[in-house]
This record gives sequence, structure tokens and C-alpha cells, in this order.
Amino acid sequence: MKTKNLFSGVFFACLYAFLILFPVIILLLGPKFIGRPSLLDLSVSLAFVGLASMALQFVNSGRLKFFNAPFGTDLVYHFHRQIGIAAFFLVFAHPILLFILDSRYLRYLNIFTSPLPVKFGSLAVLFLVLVVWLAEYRQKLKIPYWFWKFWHGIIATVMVSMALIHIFLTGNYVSQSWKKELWIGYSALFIAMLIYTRVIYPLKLTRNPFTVSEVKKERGDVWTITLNPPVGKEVHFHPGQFGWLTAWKTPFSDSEHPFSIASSAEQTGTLQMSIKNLGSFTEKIQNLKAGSQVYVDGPYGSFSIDRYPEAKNLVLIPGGIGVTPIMSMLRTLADRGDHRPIKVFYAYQTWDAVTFREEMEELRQRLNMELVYVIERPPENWQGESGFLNSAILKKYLPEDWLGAETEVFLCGPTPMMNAVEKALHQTGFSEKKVHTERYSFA
Amino acid sequence: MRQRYSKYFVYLIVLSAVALSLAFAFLKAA
Repeated sequence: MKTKNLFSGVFFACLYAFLILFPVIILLLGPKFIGRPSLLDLSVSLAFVGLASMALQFVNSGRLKFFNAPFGTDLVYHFHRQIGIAAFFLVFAHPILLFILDSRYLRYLNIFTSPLPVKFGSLAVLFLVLVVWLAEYRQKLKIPYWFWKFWHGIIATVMVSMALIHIFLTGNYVSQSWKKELWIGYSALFIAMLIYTRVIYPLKLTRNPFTVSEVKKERGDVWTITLNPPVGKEVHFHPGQFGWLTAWKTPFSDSEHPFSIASSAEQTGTLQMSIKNLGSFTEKIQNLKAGSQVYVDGPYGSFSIDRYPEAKNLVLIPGGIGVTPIMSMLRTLADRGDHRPIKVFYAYQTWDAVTFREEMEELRQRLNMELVYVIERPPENWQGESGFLNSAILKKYLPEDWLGAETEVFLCGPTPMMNAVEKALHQTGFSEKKVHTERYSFA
Repeated sequence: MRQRYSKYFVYLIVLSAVALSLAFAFLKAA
């Protein structure tokens, strides 16, 4: 499985780079542009790459399972953000270089008097600024995730459409029919992606609703919902993966939220998600009633023990609600009768709030597992570890022979905890390759 | 940590784009 992922990862990366650079390669292969200033050529060429990157953002926006599989959805989102910023600068270089080339281009800044092709170009740049600014400052501006996500897609679509119209109306670099066909091809790919992600895929999800069979309160203000798949279907996933949940709305509303699957991968008849009350969507989860219909898009993610079947030892480190994918791993290992040695370092703020505390004890009996709680604010007379998980605690419980190539470490929790524990694991002696993480904050 | 590789990949794409664009603008025009 690892080799297959590596192969498809390299293949997708090469294909992606090629598609982004293809417009410039075409320019290079084409005939010379006699009498056209070099700075103008440079500005157009950079903008072409920027636009190709923007159009391809619809491929790496997380909804294509085959594209996500080799990398993991969190990494794809991270890349989406980085390449978006890079594309922003490449496109922005286009007007800036034109202004440097000839100050008369500055008059085009007046959108009301500029020629029609320039109007579309200017609007595309304005929408580009808007889309990148909102994505970068969403949290500071306190814009709700679902609202931002909806408009991010809409503004990006308008922006790319306007840029494509700008290219066709300007026409200078697409005068030969085969170059025009290239950009028609890009436009077609872009429209096909839109139709697939906004119409075909939501329609498929709408036709396969899940039914809520139970809503149960857990410790730590967490609610577990048990879902039954559509009649005659089973759920197949790898422990540690997640799904996008849509409740109270249809998948066309584009208002889904990502949650780890908490149940065992061996129980294919139901699916459980354990959701902590953290905001406007999650606080309503407890109001779901048995019999309600919801939609689950998944599974997604590469954070799974199943990617490393050769591991002899497993170190699992959940922090807070990051326990849900780890619970799925433990429940699955128990159902499979897997007796590989496991060490779990479970970090939580208070002992009373430790989610799945009682079930952890049951799992300890069924598995070859040592369980270490690290409680930030422990109760009086607490005998266990307290404070934050650090390298001293890790070294205390992990023998030397666990630090080698045969151990795989899985870490999931709040970002500050993960950053600190990643450093602690490195100080303890684990190499980067052995530490696998799942980060929830996509935007 | 995997995020570092993603960053290097973005740098690679941007540098290639700039290099190819410079080649197109200045070599091609020459």
C-alpha cells in the first residue's frame, strides 16, 4: 500500500506540475513574437502559470478521493493554500510588470473607461485579492467557516472565469488556433471540475443518506452519533480516516464539516462519529434525533495504522477530542485480535472530562496496551503523569528499542499540543518519518 | 513535517515558472 501511494503521489505531483507549467512550455515552443517587449512577454507568461494554478485549485480543493489518497487531505489543503498564495503573486506580477514597462498602462486602472478585455482582467485581479485576503484573514475577521467556504468557491469561480474571458478577448497570445484550443481545454477542465464537485457529487451523496440510530453523551462535552448506511450498503474505511458530515441541509448547500470516524473499521454495518461541542454546528449535534437523515462524504485521509502494516510497535498519542481517530484504531485492533505492543499517551485537561475513559480500560484488557494519562490539571492525590506531555514522560515509558524503525507514532490533537509533542518526539529520538499526524484546522 | 515537502514543491513550481517565463521573454525575443 505504501509503494502504491508513493507511486501515485509522484505521478500526481509530476502531472500537476506539468499542467501548471504547460502554458509557458507552449509559449516557448511557439513562434517568436517579433517586436513585442520582453517585459510584456514575461508578465503574460507569469500570469498564465498563475491562472493555470488557480484553475487547478479546483482539483486540489479536497473533493477528489483519488487525488487525496497518496498525500492525505490535510496536506492537500495545506498545499492548496500555499499554491494559492504563489499563484496570487504570479498573477499580480502581470499588471505590475505592465506598469513598469509603460506608465500609460496605468490609465487602465480606471475600470469604467478601460477597454472590455481589460475590464475582465481587472475584475479577475480584484476577485483574486478578495479570495486570498478572505482565506488568510477569515479567522481574524470572525467569518463562520461554512459561510466563508461557500463564498470562497463562488468568488474563485467568478475570478477564474473572468481571467479566461480576459485571455480570449485580448487574444494576443491565443491567436493561433492550437493555443486557443489549449485554453479552451483548460476552461473545459475547469467547468468539468465545477460540475462534478457542485452537481454530480452532491447528487450522489443526496441519493445515499445515512440514518441516525443513536445520539449518546460522552465525557468531555462530546456527543457520539451512530449512523446506519443506506439500505444494502456497508461502510468501508481505514481506522483513523474521517468523513464530511452534512446535517439539516442537503449536500448541495456545501456546508459539511469534517469529523474523524470513531468506530471500528471491522464493524461495517454502522459508523460512529464523536463530536465535541465547540461551535455553532457542533453544539446542535445533541439535537439530532434517531431516524434523522444526514449525509457522509468519505472516507478521506491518510492518517491510518493500515498504511503501516509492517509496524511492530504502535505509539498512539491523542490529545483532547483528537482521541476519536485513535479510538477507531484501538477498537479496530481489538476487533482484529491484533496483539502488537501499543503504548497510548492520552493528554487531557481534566480527569473528569477524559472522553472514553471507561472504554479505554476495557480496551486495555483486550489489547497488548499500556495506557498513560497525562492530565494538565489533575485532581488531588493524582498518581499519574501531570502537566503537558514532554520528552521526559515519553522517555520514561518508551524503552530504547521502541525508538527504531519498527515503531510508528500516531499523533492527533489541538495544534499547540501537536507542535509541542512533535518536538518532544524528536527530542526522544523518533525520526520525522515515523511520526504521523492529523491536523484539523483546514482554513 | 510532511508540510515541508509541500512547501518545497511549491518553490519548485514557482522557480520553474519564473525560469521558463524568463527564457520565453528574453531568449525567445532575442
